[in-house]
Parts: sequence; structure tokens; C-alpha cells
Amino acid sequence: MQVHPPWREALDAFTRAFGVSPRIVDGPCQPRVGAAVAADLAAASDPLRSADLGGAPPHGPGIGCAARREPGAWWCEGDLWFVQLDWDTSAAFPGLPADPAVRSLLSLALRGSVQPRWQEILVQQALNGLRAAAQGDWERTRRTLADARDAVRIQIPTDALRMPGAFVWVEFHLGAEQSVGTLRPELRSLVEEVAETSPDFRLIGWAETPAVLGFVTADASAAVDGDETEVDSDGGPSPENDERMIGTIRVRSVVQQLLAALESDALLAAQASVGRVVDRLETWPDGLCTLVDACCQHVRFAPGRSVFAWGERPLLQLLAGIGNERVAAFLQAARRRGALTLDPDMAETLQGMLQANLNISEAARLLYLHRNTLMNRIERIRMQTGYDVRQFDDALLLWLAQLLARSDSDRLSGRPAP
Amino acid sequence: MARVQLNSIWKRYSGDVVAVKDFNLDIQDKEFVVFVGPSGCGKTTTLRMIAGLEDISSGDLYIGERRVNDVAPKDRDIAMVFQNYALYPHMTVYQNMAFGLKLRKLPKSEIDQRVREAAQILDIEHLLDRKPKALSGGQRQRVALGRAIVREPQVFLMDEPLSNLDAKLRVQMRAEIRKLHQRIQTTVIYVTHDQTEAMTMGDRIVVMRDGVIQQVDTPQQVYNFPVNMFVAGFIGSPAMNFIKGELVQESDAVFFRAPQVNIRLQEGRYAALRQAGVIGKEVVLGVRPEDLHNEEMYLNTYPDAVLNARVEVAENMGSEVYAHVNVGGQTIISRVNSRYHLTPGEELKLAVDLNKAHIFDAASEVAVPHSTAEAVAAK
Ligand SMILES: Nc1ncnc2c1ncn2[C@@H]1O[C@H](COP(=O)(O)OP(=O)(O)O)[C@@H](O)[C@H]1O
Ligand SMILES: [Mg+2]
Repeated sequence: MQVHPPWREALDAFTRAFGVSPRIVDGPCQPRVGAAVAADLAAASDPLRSADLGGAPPHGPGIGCAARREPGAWWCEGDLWFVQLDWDTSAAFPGLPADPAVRSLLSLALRGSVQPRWQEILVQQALNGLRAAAQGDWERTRRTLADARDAVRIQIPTDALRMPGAFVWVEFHLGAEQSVGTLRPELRSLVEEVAETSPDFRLIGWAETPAVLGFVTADASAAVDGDETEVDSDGGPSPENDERMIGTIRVRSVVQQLLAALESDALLAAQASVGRVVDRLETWPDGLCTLVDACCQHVRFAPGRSVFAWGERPLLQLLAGIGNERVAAFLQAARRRGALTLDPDMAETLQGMLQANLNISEAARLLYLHRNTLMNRIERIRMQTGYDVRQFDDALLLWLAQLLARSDSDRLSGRPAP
Repeated sequence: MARVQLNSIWKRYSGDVVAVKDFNLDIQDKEFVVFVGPSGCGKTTTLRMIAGLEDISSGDLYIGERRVNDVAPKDRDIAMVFQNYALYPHMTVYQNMAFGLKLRKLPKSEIDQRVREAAQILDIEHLLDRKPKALSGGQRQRVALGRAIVREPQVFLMDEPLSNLDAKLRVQMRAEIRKLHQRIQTTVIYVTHDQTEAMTMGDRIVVMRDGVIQQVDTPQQVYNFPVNMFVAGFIGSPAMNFIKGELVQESDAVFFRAPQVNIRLQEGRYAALRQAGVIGKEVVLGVRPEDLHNEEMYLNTYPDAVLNARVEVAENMGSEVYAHVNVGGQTIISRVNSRYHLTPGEELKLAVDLNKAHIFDAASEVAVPHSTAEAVAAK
């Protein structure tokens, strides 16, 4: 529980150090008078301002308050100095020493104290997106995230997330300890210590799931292991030498390393979903939106994968975008010839046939089955479902039905809902 | 150092995937056990359940005397070495090896002692200040092992640790890991899909398929007496030949018959065959490529078990030739000495070493024991 606002400590220390007693002003907008403009102009030419108080020009909160001052920004009205404490609160200082260095001290302290804010917001946004997605409301998910920026006006420090890169959602599986619901502090610090070993991974914040939101820089100098990419039945990574796809592969290899380190050094099991690689800070809503997208596809279609990256499996992306109603209609139509659920042996047979391009001998070899055993199984599938997996159309339809039926029956998360 | 017991362990994933079914195994203290099977058969899942990285759906897992189903991985006293495990690129070898211990808040002096000991065991003391980039593949693999050794665990779990190495290095590291096991005297559970690796490394091997244990035994025993066609075909390279046919009784003798194949089986096996009820039924004859001989001596020893074959391809392996031959329409492989020069189309007589031939029930794919005594022993 946060009893004090995060800037309280910094402000109190400053107050004590300089023997001043500030007045707290609530509300995002301050009236602007002529003197303030003059002070802003003066501040703009103040070297400390551009060096220490953030390069951003002082926002002029005009009519309608279209923009606000950043936390830590100073301005002067009449003979009063004001400082922005957080996005909604400022403080007025009567009798402040004129030395700009004094002001910059508080700015720095405030920046430090309010810094978690953008991080918390990002985590919260990701969680909101996941919740909306869990209810199958994909439109709302997109809206939530697309609107997020305007709604909360968050300002991510320009050097916080090294671009280009992608957002990553890492979920921990605590097994027997999962029932506790939260990650114990010592486990948290364990994760943080391991995360620190990866220079390309930035831990943004924790969700109680337990999960972390992070950002991975697609460092061009990082080695890319070609063998890391798994090729799946729907084609796997696109063969195009797409810049973004290379970025994704780099991010994936960083994430894979991180998971391996967590497992072997911290003995913590985790899975990660990776969003689209974004190359500018302003596009973070897109980065977060695709992350949520990836989380959903991960859970629905590839629950066994340790890392799932957005855009790596275009077919799944397409399927994920189909509304529940349409999926239900498709399944109903597909079920007309028989039951669709296959027991594991049969499901494996279908996979084997697809992998072998419907070549019986090859499939038998892949499945370590005798040809006759395989033929028996194929016949059993036909009896049960009405589909003959030796036929391309039938095999494809049955495979799609399997995929969609499975995701239809699973909740978004077999894990506790975010 | 600990015994590991898996009692009726099951793993079900969401949906209806059953990855591991009724897994029962008692691993002795200091034993080197290898799980082997094709990809997707549940090896990794089983190993991760032992580590605690994956929940156990049902069953009991004991490490030492303790039931550990609900014990967190870090409290299970295990260490893992993975297939894709990459070292921390920005840390030295020393730091890489020390990191896991640092996380566990061990005192510096203790960490130092353990790292140096492990480095000595692995013969990498001279590399402690290097960064991973400056190491060869084999050296990196040793550092990866060192990271596990310093934990001084009761059980080592290794999941295909050599699969990223090239073939030559892999062979070398197999031996090194075995030597390491002898030095540190700890229980090792090793996972691989490579049957050669399993055969050369395990005290015992556990052959798995579709989440089910097929056979648990010493490599020699599994090789000589596979319990079913799956194990027979999976263990050994080139794979065992299978010839489909039937068992026919004529007067006192039992014959294996297939197109252009007529083999009189040895009397010693009749009792077991009768007991299994396969006489008069469809069966599969299994013969390893090295048990098909073109030499006079064998042709004379087994006059009732000679196949007339036609050479299709002769694959020269240096010391021997893999002869792919056609017998009555079925292709089988024989390993013959490379002093025989075989040409495609050539006719060849091959004697089956009947002492080493296997009979499988064609319907169930289960092996018929070589003798009734063996059948009793198996039970
Ligand atoms: N998280 C998961 N969800 C669903 N199925 C899984 C998951 N993890 C593994 N599987 C399935 O379990 C089976 C066994 O996998 P695994 O233990 O990785 O096999 P192996 O290590 O022998 O190759 C496979 O069919 C795999 O697809
Ligand atoms: Mg595996």
C-alpha cells in the first residue's frame, strides 16, 4: 500500500535541507501569466535546464491543458517558484534560493522518485490488454492499448528503452508454490539478479501473476544462432530477409538465454511471449499491443513453447484474429461427419502425416510405426471423425479443427487469470 | 548422491496431451541412467518433473528419502545442464561458474573454493579469466558442466548437453562426462535422442516411446534382448532388419516362412514360441545387420537359415560394407567385411545367425523370449 505519494520523500529531504516550506498544488493545470512565460524563456536559456532538467522544452499548459509539465520541471510565476511533483501535482516555493543548482537537485530527486510511474503504467496496460483478450474481446484489447497513450499521457524517458527492440512478457511457473499467488521477495530479487546479467534485457516491472514485463533490445551486434528458430507445421519464420524478422530472431535468442539462465541458475521455470520489434519510442502502444497478441496466440496455439514471438507464425496470427462466433460455426460444420477430438495417438498420427507430406511410408518412419499400424490408425481416424487424412483437404481441415477446438476449450490461461 | 524413485508418474498438459504415462523407475545412488527415445517421447518432460520445473500431474517422486513433489526446484538439491545452454557472454569463466552460488548467497570463500575445485576436475583452471568468446566448443561445454558441478548437487540432470557440438567433439565429450561421473560419484540422469550416446554412456538405459517406458536395462541387455520391435528398431545402427512372415509347424520342426525365405528355427526355442502362442501366426523375424553373414563358416553352421539375396547398393564404410540387399521383395541390410567387393545386381547368400535372431508377434510387436527361462526371468 502506498500511503505517501512517491515524491514525498524527495520533497521532504529538500525542504529540510534548504529550510523552505512549499505549498502543494493539486490538479494538472496551472494558470499561466505573463511572468511565467518570461520565466520559461529564461529557463530555456539556462544551461542547467537543458542539461539536467531534461531536454524537453517547458510545456505551455494553455487552454484545455493539452500538455503538461514533466515531473521535475521548474517554472516561475511572479516571485514564486513552482515545481512539477508528478503529473497531477505541483508545489509552490516561497523564498527559494535563487541558485539554479538548488532547483536541479530537487528535479533529479523527483525524477528518481516518480520514475516508476511509466513502468507501472506499462505493466498495468499490458495486464489490461491481457484481461480484455482473456474475455475474447480483441477489439477492446486494441482500443485499450491504442488509447493508452492519450489516456495516461505517459512519457517514457528517451533513454529508458534502447531501440529497436520488443516488449517481452515472462510468466513464472511456481508449481506447488503457485498457490501463494505472488512471487516471494527473494524470488523476485533472484530474477532481477539474473536479468541484470543480460545487457539487452530491461526489466520494466512486475505483475502479480507472477510475471514481468521487459524490453529486449535487438542488438545488431548480438550473435544470431540460426538453429534456435523452430520451424513448425505452418511454415515457421517467413523466409523473407525482413529486417524486423531478424530483430525478432535476435530478441528471441536473448530471451531464450534469459530463460535458460533462470532455469539453471535460479531454478525457476518460465515462459515468454515476445511482441513485434518496434524501432521508435513513440510506437510503444503497437509494441505492447502485439505483445498481448503474442501472449494470446502463445497460450491458445502453442502452450508448450518456451518462447513465442509475434509474427513468427503467420497462420496462427490469422487464426487468432477470427472471432469466436466464426470459430464456433466452423467447428460445428466440421463436426458434421463425426467427433473431432482425437486421442493423443491419433493426434500424433495426424501430425506425422502432415510432416511427411501425406506420404505413408515416410510418416510411418517418422512415427516409428509399422506401415500397417499406421494404416490402422488412419482408418480409426476416418471412422471416428469422417476425415481421411491421406487426402490433403481432409488432413488440413482436421488439423485446423484440432487447433481451433483446442483453443476454444482452453481458457486464455491455464494459469491464474492475470 | 541419492537414490531417485519415480512411482507411477504421469504428466498431462492442458488439453488432452499426455506426455508421460505411468512412469516407474528406481534409480540407484551414483547410477548413470540415460533416457533415450525419439523426439517428443517425453524425456525432457520427465527430467523437468524431476527438477521441479514442471508439475507432476500424479504419482510420487522421491529424491533420497524425501518425497519432493511439492518441494521447490531450488530446494531439491539438483543441478541441470541443458542442450542450448549458453554461458553469460559478459562474464569470465570464473564468474560464470560462481554466479549460481552467488545467487544462493554462499560466502565468497566457499564460492572460490568450489569454483577452483570444479575447474581442477574439469581441467579448465587456466581458463578461469577468459570470456566465453575466447573458448573452444569443448571448453565451453566443460564450463557449462562446471556451473552444475559447483552446486554439489545430489543429482545431475542433463538434457541433451552435447547436441550442439560437432560429431567428433561429441564423441570426446561422452567419454569426458563418463570420467567426470566416476570422479564425482553422483547420480546422473542423462537425456538423449541418440541411441549411440545412450549405449555408450549409460549404466542402464531407459527406452521411451510416446511417454511410456518400453524397456529399462543395461545397454548390452537392451541390445541383445529388446522387448519389442520398437526397441529393436530404435537401438542399434544400422537398424535391425525386420522380415514379415509366418511360423509354420511341419512334423517336429518350426519354420519361419516369407517370400523366398524358409528358415528352420532351432529346437531350443520351440517351447518359448509355443508358450507365446505364435506358431501358425504372423510374426516378424528380426536380425541385426551384423548377424547376417556371407562367410562360408556361417553358411555351413546355419544351413537351414540361408537367404538368397540380390545386392542393391553397397555402402562402403571403410572397414566394412553395408550391403543393402533384396530378399523376396524386402530390402534388408547386412554388414560384410570390406574385403568382399559387392556390385549391384550380384547374387549373395547370407546366413542368419539363429542364436541372435528375434521373433516378434506381428500383431502386438512384442518379442518372443528366446527361451522359457528368459520368459520367466522377464516376469
Ligand atoms: N507445455 C506443454 N503443453 C502441451 N504439450 C507439451 C508441453 N510440453 C511438451 N508437450 C508435449 O509433450 C510431449 C513430450 O515432449 P518432450 O518431453 O519435450 O519430449 P522429448 O524431450 O522426448 O523430445 C510432446 O508431445 C510435446 O509436444
Ligand atoms: Mg527434449
